[in-house]
Amino acid sequence: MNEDVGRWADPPLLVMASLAEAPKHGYAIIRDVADTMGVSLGAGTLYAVIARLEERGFIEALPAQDRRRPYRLTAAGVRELELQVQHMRSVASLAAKRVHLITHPAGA
Amino acid sequence: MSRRSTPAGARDRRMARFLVGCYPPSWRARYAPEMLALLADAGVSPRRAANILAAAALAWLRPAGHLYSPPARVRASLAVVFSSWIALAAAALLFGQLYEDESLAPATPRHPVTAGLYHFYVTAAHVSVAILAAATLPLGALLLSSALRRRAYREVALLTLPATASLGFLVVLVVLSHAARNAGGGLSSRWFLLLTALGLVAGAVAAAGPVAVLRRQAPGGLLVVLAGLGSGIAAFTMAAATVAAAANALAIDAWTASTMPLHAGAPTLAGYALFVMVVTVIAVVSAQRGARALRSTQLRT
Repeated sequence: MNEDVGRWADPPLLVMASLAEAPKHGYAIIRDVADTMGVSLGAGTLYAVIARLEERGFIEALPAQDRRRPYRLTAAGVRELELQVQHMRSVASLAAKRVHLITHPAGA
Repeated sequence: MSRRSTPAGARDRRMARFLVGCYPPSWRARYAPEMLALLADAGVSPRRAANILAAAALAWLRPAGHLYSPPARVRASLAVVFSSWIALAAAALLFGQLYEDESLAPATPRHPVTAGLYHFYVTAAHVSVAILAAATLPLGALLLSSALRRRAYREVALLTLPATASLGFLVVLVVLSHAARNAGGGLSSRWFLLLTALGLVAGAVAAAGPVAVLRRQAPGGLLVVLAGLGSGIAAFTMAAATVAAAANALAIDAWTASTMPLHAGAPTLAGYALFVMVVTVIAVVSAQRGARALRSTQLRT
């Protein structure tokens, strides 16, 4: 699993999650992340993420449309996103169990 | 977040071009059109501008690997660090030596602090020159032999520019030194600044020759790595020498301001310190980029 992409709510994960729906260009990614995940990505942050994900082969650029270049997940990107989701799910499950123990202590 | 309904104004477009212009050239070649399109859609708020500036700084420090050719990046870093070394050496030599040259600045009683700073400056500068020579001469010999083998005499001339530019500047320095001695006084602040500017021009010319040949021949391998590492270490050593030279000048200024004809003053010293700082930062950033490229390439093998 790629450590750079793994931290919770990290911009790379948000961008990959957005692109999992459909290929999008920069502004469409920013809007989608804001509308569906409630996170405001800066343009500088977004393109730093795009460059990193492209470097690692997790996303690829499609032909530009009027200067706006859409990106899509590659097969490696889909696998990475699956791993990240599994990891988040296991962390969430563990956290849920532990929170339950706090809110419902045994013998209380 | 809502899409801006009005088109971005001329000020926004200028600001967007400025912000995108802050990125490294390789980044701009790949992403500039689409980021400009994004900013045209989203607008340029102060918060967005700050975010882009921070990202641009990171792009300089840590460029994405798919945007450049690692061997070309290593050569570019070597060229930048070598040029930085020459700029620092010119500044250190002028500032340090002119303050000590009795023909330009009449002798004053030596204070232990200025003596220590001066000795540090001289030692660090000599060590730096030795490191640079040991690290770059093998590559220089390789470039020169390749140029001679191909009868590329223009490249040979470019490779000798460090020597000819330095010699030309020394001639000017000696002539001016004699003129000042004959006039019976020291060097005025205006002449001092002019000499500093001339020294920097000579340094730029000296650096431009080998850098041009480096780009033209595009060598690779261990000699480039050795030259890059040596130039980096030499640049840091020379930066330390320039700091000592500036501190020495500051101390002399403070203690002998009333009697010394050569008196640079705080604004000149501040400008000098700023120059050294900027050149050192450029060298550090470029060396870091070169080292990063080195790790991702086969140059080591």
